[in-house]
Amino acid sequence: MQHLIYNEMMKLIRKKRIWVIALILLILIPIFTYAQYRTTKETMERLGTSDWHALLTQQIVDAQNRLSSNQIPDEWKKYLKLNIEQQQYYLDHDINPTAPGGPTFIRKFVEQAVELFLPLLVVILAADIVSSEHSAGTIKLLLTRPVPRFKILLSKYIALLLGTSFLILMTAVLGYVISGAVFGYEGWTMPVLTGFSQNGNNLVTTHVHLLPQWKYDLMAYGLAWFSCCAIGTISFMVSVLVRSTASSMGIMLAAVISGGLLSQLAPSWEALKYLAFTNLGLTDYLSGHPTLVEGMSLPFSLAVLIIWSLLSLLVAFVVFTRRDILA
Amino acid sequence: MAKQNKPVLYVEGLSKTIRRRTIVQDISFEVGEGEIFGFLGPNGAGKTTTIRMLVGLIRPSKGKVKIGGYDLQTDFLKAISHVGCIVENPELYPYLTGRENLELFARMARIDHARIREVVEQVELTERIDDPVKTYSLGMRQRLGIAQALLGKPKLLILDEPTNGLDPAGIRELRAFIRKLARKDGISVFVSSHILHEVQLMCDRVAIIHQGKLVQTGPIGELVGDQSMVEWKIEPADRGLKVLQSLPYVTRWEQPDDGRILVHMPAEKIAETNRSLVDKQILVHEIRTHRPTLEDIFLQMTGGVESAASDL
Repeated sequence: MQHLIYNEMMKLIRKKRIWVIALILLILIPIFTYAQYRTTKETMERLGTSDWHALLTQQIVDAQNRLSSNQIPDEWKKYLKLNIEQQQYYLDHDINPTAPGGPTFIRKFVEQAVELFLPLLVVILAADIVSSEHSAGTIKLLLTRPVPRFKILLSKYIALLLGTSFLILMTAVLGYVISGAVFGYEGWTMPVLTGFSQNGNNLVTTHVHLLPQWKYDLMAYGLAWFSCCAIGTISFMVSVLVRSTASSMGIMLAAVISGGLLSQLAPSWEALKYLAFTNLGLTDYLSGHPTLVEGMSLPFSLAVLIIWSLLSLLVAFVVFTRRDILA
Repeated sequence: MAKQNKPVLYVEGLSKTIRRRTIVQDISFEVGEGEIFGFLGPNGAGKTTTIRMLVGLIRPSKGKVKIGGYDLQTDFLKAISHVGCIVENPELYPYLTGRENLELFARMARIDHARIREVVEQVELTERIDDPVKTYSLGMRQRLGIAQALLGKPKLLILDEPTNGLDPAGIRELRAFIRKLARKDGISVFVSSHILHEVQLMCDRVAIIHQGKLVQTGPIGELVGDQSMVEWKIEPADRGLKVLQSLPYVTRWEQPDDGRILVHMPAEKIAETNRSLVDKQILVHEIRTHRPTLEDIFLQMTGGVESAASDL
């Protein structure tokens, strides 16, 4: 089996598709870095450049005053306390909260990229993994060797998962290295607020707590990896079903993009939450970003993605092992 | 010549129906050890569908394929490990080098590097083997495809239209190569073609397929007939003709006006006939054999089937 996976990895790497993706990241990350840099500069200019220490101190004092007031509900108090803790950390470690370092950049980057940008890159990688063998005719050689068909497909799937993992790793590493050159490489231990959840229209803050940023980043990239694997698996099925790479890529791009659009257009349409493509923003559950469609939670989204992935794999394997190779 | 003891490839009642259209219907034949078997038919006759069923790319609707004694349906891995094949064009990964392509397929069947070197030498690609396949000419791709097919030391080589796109020299080379494989290494070769004279020159036996059905199977000589036409240019013509007429195996003759004599006789008897003429002091200027080509026979036969079908 490892021989087959080695073969598939060799094809993946030598086909240069993965390097095209690396190139896309190499071009886009500096652009995002520059965008972040501009925003930071503008904020700093608005607030006054050197006075962020004073500003933070002022904010902490304000928050403490509100804490001592009786009109604030208990769960808010907890949130405020954590906020103060976070701001105190900024002060103690001399971190300007509006000028983030590399670790903060990659956190924000993955939160933005998880719903559309990363899935698109995965689709580029996955859409041709089986269909290219059809369009190049090499499928005829592959399937006339003394190897069962399911093993061929399994080796391709494992290669795809490895490729996807490499893609996520590359995003994190390139993001850190490139943005760090501008914003500095510190900030791994900076506390980040997490644990928000949603109940109807209210933000539930009972489980809110602080996490060191490295832990938060790890979790965010883990969730992004999971989303990407799910998208990769669905693309994999499409790649088995459709013989041309162009159409399998087109189908997946349309699905990913319209999934994102639909949930924004029709947040009241509850059935949308059962689509894989509306559940890709897993990192939203970490940051407490409100979900658009009601009734979605991290376990729910994970379950939806898992079910879609398993069904896709089932279809892919059944079709691939039975199909006549006619052309 | 061909040893017919135990068939390497055994096909019985093979049929394929796709969406209620019968593409291949009840095909049966055998290919013996070391035999070169030609599979002939016009484009669209069902050759490629049949070949794809032989290598497990298409599941037959009916019928049985056995390779080296193993049933392709129930014992796929054992059966297919005896087969090397090129189905249609020799398609390999263009972004890899020739060697990397071979290594890739070698890894799938646990074949070592020594064997790779061996087949590369056998197809004479040693010099270019480390170049990317996309820089190869069609002939070189063809040879790399054959190298790939030979990697697993197959008992049966299946080549689908191997002469497609090759120049005459390339075709000659390929023919010699295939003959050598069959004669020296005892590999059975199943070769399909729609260009009949190319196959006629290398096959021991042929099967002719038309509209999904086998029209005829048999040794090439039988199909061509042992009666061939021999053209003689002799002097003096009238006395020569008398000598020729007196020979027992000469059945028919024609004498066009230009001094040539066309005689229906077995081609093997040419030397004997020549001696008889020379013995009678007749000068022999030229001997030419006119073997009817498979093409003629083929047209005659398939044309017959067609008209028979339209009669129904």
